[in-house]
Amino acid sequence: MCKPGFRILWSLTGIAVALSVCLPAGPLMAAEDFNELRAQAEAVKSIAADFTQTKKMKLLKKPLVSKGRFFFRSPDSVRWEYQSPIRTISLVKGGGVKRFTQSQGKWQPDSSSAVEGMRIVMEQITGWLAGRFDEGMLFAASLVPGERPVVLLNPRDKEMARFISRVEVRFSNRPGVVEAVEIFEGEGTSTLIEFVNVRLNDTVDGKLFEGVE
Amino acid sequence: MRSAQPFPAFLLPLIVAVFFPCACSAPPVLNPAAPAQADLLTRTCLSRFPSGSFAVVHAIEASLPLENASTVVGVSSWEEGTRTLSAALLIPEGIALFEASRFGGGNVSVTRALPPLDRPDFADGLFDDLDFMYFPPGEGSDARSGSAVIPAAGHYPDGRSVCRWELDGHFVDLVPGEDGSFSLSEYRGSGEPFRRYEAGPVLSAAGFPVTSSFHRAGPAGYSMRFTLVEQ
Repeated sequence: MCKPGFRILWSLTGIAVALSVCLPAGPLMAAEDFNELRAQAEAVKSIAADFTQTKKMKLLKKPLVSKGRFFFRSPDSVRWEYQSPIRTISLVKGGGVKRFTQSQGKWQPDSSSAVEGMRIVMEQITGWLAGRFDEGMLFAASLVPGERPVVLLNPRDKEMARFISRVEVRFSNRPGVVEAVEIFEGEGTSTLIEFVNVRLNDTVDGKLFEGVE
Repeated sequence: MRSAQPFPAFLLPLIVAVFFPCACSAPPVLNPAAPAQADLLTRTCLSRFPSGSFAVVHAIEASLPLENASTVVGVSSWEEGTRTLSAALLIPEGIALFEASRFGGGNVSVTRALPPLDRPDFADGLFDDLDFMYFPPGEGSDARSGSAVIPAAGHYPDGRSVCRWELDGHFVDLVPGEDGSFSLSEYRGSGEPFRRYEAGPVLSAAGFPVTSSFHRAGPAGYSMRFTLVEQ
């Protein structure tokens, strides 16, 4: 069991990944409650997408923009890859987590203790992948139905709320596609992850979840 | 009884300085330069530090003995007009771990600090290292305007040029390379430098080193490698 501070830290470390993996698919325009979201998520066998992450904070003269790609294969394989400006890859498979950073042209695994910490968020990730937004320990969820549904996530833990005030998962009007995830961290500080080229249920090479290449 | 905790290893280099603040060391012999040469050498040394306001984003790769490296994003900014130095640390996934500012000679004002970066003195240690890297010794962000300390200029026995600042019994040597690179070494006694910063030689269009590294000596020594991401 983790000390609360460390649990929160590693939760935050994994949250950007976790939130971006929660891409339930199906005709979300019809989603009126979490049961429908959950049912729609069960239809997703794979996801592939590119993403742009825009970090805003007062200290930054201009937003810090990162780009990458994302793959998911049911039930529990994830590849979350930043291609610029810093190259990192997080791999999730069967409950195990690996994380690599490119340094001087070579991929280096993150420290074992850091990776061990990432496991803490796996339950949350798994729950979101299954569309179980409303069952997470870290966030309380509410659904704003409509043509472009939005899931609002508010931290349950007061300590967590010091660092993340809320999260919005915005679905597009294209059935089954998450358009963006925005994490609000406090006054003037936010992280927006926008997805493009989203492909659902295409064939995804299993090697993508095995290693960096 | 407290249970075992997964410690965030990539943060260790950032906090260890607080608990191991001194490894004693002394500088090599400096042979003074002639006055005319000393002025030129002093100007060369001072030109290695950023001038005016700046804001930079670095990828920071931190290494500890027996640990794999981990990377965080570091944001540093200096507003000369208000003498405000600010710093933030983010994970590559975007979440801010730490954010703080210091106005002139005031205390560091921490606006965000996730455990364990909320430990006492972490912020002061971080800003002390930023002062070391970005400002001439004695002219850090917390110094009063116009409080410049004139260094001694000369050469090491091996012929390398060097500028030396003496502050409170400590010595800081800046060795400028002919290719635009430079090293900063702080000595606090005898032996190896207590801390060392090496930068360049490749510079960005705005004159910032594209790559640099910081090393702190001692049993709890650590290294950080900086790669300029944005300026």
